[in-house]
Amino acid sequence: MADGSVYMFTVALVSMGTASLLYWLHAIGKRAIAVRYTIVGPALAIVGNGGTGRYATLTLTIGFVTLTLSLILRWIASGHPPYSNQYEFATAFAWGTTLAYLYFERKYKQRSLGVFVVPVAAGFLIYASTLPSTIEPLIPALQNDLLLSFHVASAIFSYGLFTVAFGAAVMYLMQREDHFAWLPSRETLDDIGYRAVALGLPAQALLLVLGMVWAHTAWGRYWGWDPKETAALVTFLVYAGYMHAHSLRGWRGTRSALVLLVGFGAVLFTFFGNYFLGGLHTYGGV
Amino acid sequence: MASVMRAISVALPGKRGPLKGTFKLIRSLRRDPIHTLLSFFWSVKVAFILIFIIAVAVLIGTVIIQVPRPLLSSSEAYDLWVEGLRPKYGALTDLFRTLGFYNVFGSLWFRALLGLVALNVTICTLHRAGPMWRSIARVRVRQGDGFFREGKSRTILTSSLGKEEAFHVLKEALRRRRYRVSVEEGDGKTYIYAERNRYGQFFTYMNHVGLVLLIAGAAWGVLGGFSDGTLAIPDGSMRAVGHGTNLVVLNEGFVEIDYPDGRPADFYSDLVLYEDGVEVNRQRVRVNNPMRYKGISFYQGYFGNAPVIQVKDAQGNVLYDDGVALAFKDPRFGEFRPVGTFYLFDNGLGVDVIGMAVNVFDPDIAPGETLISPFNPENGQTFGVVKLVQGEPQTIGGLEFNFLRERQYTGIIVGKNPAIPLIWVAAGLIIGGTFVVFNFPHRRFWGRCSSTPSGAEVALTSTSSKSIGLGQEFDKIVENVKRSLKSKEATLNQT
Ligand code: HEM
Repeated sequence: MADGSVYMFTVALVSMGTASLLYWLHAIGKRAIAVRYTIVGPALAIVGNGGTGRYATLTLTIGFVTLTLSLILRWIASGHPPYSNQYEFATAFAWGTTLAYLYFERKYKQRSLGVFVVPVAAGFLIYASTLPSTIEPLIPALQNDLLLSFHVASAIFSYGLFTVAFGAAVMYLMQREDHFAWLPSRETLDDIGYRAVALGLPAQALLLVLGMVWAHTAWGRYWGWDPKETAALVTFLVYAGYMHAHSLRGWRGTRSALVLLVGFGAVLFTFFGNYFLGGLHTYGGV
Repeated sequence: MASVMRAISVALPGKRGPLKGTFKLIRSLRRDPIHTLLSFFWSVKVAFILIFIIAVAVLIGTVIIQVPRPLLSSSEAYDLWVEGLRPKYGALTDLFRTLGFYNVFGSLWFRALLGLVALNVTICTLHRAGPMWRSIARVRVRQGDGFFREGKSRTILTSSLGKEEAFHVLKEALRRRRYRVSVEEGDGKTYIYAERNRYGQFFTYMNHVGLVLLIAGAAWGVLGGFSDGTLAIPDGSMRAVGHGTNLVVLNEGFVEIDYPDGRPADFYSDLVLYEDGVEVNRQRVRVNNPMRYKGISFYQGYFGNAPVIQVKDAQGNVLYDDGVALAFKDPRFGEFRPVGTFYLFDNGLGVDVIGMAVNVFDPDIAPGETLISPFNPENGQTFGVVKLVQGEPQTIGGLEFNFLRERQYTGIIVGKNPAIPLIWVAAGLIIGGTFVVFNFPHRRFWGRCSSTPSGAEVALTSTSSKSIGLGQEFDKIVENVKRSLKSKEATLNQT
């Protein structure tokens, strides 16, 4: 089981890496058509348009399926969902990002969105591959399957969605005055960012609350200003601020895209925070 | 301060420059204090600024080392602790202290900020309730020509169908997308108003009520409850819970089971609870599985060593014979050494018991040894530090001290928080509210059908609502209408 999980992980890693490349090729190809028909243009266009795009999605889907299998096999082998160490959580993060991305790709029929999102997922897998993947038994505080499963699941969904919002924001900032025909229009990107946060924010609220319930049963306090939970709260505040600015002050475009970048910074800070902040969430070890 | 003033002046509508703004604020405060305060609090800008300040405060509290709670009860211990930070923070050490940066989350100013946010969100939402209600309560179905020429998403379709049929197509298209429709006739035209998730906006109240309840619940928990992490009970010993209860806890035994690699696999304590001397509860308490009694919960926290110390007076009377839980740290005795204290009140004596350093090599204390430091509880004056070796009694000031044997203690966190149910309700409101508000937005469209020489004209528009996805929704409806019109026209042409 554990071996199977490792094999599947490797396949997923290779697929996601390849998918990242293909999404870039696809975008460059589209760009070549968009810019002008030079000699390279049509050649790249052939590689880049119909073909690569579909292969990019296909490769990513393979990556997603194998990653799912890898996580399931590991779950069976270890007897618990992926929350006991940084390797498991980095893998799960990549999984959530891919899932959220595939959903948005289908919904908006925009492949170029993958240019920034898929490499993030691949990056998390590469990061995971540098971590020890040995299955370790759970320490007592983590022996609360149901609660922790939902706690981690909501983390995976919300952070995956926030990563998609981040990808949309980066492209928004590149896309001045709908200048690049190979990128989605600014309106679409703004929309994608908002939708991703609209789904991600409730999930993150759930994440925080389940964390509170867990802290309450394990340590007798629902909130302890532990660095990781505090960082998660700040993340929540940033995205709640984004939503309020959006609907109350009509913030759109560049300003909201910048808030999304800050928000994603907060997500990463929360994820890696235990390296420089310490606190209760470190006991999973690296 | 200047920046705060600027923030306030920016927050008030139509003010330029920090000074002018401040003067104007003061003047209007004099003229109409209530209105001025209210308008200050219903400003959304003020909300943003408050939240921003809180986020910064939270960051400060995360980045700067926070004082462990037990140290707060003694200003001496706090002083010592702050001194320990001087090498790290240098010249800023005292400034941080003055500003309360070592205890951000317990500080008055932080709590005041949370209170202000609660006030802000309450006034802000109440202020907007009227307009919000009016915006959905009475809506004109019949709209003028200009109305259909404005709106962010709008379209005019023509069809060879008759007015009635075309209208039917429009109505069905809206119905199929779950819109509630109202219809009105006038000047030979048919008007329609379609609405979905009518009360969607009001779910913002769920969020804001949730937020206010959360803050209120946190305050209630702090004021009406307690959380005490200092109940450390040696195996076989009893300790009083305190906090106005008559509860006593007996630790029948603490057990730790390790994985082969030394990490803990499981640890638990068998606790028995007595009230007024009568057993009222008993349970094996683990992490994630606390014992509860009358709203008070007992959590498995930490554990460690508890040497059993016996004290006899010159006549051989036993004054003390119990485990001493080495559950605390005291910088006077070294950074890594666990310390416990017991008292012989009849003799006017307190005794600090100091154990071997944990996780690092201890040059002065070996296994089977412990240090004791008797002191006068009245003034804290100590009578020196003496090493005790297990089983070798020593006489100090006419009392014989003996380190009998090693035991373990269990550290129990005792907590009572009457606000917990309220906190969960508040949290549920926030989760549910955010989900509903963002994913079930209020949508409305106005339509009009009129006869033309060649058939009918169908106009559809939406006011420029700020809700997202409106354009897409509009396009879908228009697409549906177009398609049905076409297919109806086709069947009409065939017959
Ligand atoms: C954790 C805190 C908060 C949460 C989860 C929250 C949630 C929400 C949500 C979901 C909406 C609907 C947004 C939309 O329509 O796009 C909203 C609207 C709003 N929020 Fe908050 N909010 C919070 C804090 C605050 C605070 C502190 C204020 C301070 C004034 C505030 C003021 C408002 C106002 C005025 C609206 C618009 C209501 C309307 O439609 O008229 N919110 N909030």
